[in-house]
Amino acid sequence: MCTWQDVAEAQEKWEHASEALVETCRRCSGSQQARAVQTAHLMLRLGLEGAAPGLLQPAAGEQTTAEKGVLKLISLLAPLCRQNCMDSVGKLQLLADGECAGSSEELLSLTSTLFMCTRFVTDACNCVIVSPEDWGVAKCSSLHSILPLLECSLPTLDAALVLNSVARQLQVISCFFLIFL
Amino acid sequence: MTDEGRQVVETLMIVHQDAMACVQGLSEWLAEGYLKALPENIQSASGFPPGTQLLAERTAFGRVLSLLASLARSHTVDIRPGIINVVYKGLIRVLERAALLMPSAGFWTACFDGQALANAMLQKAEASLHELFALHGDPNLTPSRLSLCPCSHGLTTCCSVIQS
Repeated sequence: MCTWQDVAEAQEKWEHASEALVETCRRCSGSQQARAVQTAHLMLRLGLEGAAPGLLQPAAGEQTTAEKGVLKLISLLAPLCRQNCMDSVGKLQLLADGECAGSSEELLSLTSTLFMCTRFVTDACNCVIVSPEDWGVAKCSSLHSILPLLECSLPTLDAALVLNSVARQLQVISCFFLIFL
Repeated sequence: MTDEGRQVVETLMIVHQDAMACVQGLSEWLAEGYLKALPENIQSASGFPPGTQLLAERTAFGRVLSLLASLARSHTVDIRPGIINVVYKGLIRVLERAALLMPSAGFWTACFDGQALANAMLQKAEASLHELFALHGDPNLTPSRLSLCPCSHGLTTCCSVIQS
């Protein structure tokens, strides 16, 4: 049977693994980094399951240890996701404008980085801000406390919002030039 | 188009939809969740003198509003007739709710440049209106400019089209 001590140990291990993963994300680049972010995203989901109410019983309004761990992972990785997302959108825009050529591997790598980084940010926003009750996280009432997350998320979302037109441009390019698409 | 190409385009569309839904969710939370509960949260806050916390919250709110406004400015309004980009709609709801809660002129001048946002929104709307007229309009009618009318209506209703 699982004891409170087991839960606390699991959370501690989760936190160590998350920190190591953040370091890996920082050191890698390209498709390796996208895979590392994907793993971090899975870790985030795992951490959120651990943060579900009932595992630890904090005083009303206080964060559980698991919640603190999740918020830490988000705060460490969100700036990296923002940078990756903005870089990838910039490169995709160049490809879509026909200003440079790219291989299909490059295109797939950019798309996968974008997908993972944006997913991480949107999940982070949803679990901490928009619908914490769905994720078992305490409701946030202070904007000041989540400002760092919003300062990363809004520019990331800003960059991701141009992808509709980028995708359309890429479709047009593929029709006229029969390139990698 | 190859399978790979289709996969790329579909993925980009999904990322776009996710981002749009998240922006909508954040605006909704700001207007209906955070701002609605703010007075109560400030009153029941423990550990901070209310004045200090209120100042921190207002500064944070001003910063978030500026980020949302910048996001709205970088995306054009949807040119489908009658439909304004969800980003603008969300932002307008936040502004309408905030105007009731933070009526001090000091807040709006210190934390947030509302006039700059209003002008940027008008420019975007005006450009889209020109596109709409070019696409579907009567060639004898040309929209000249949009302006804020000096009435006390909310932002959503105080734009008037002046036709030449």
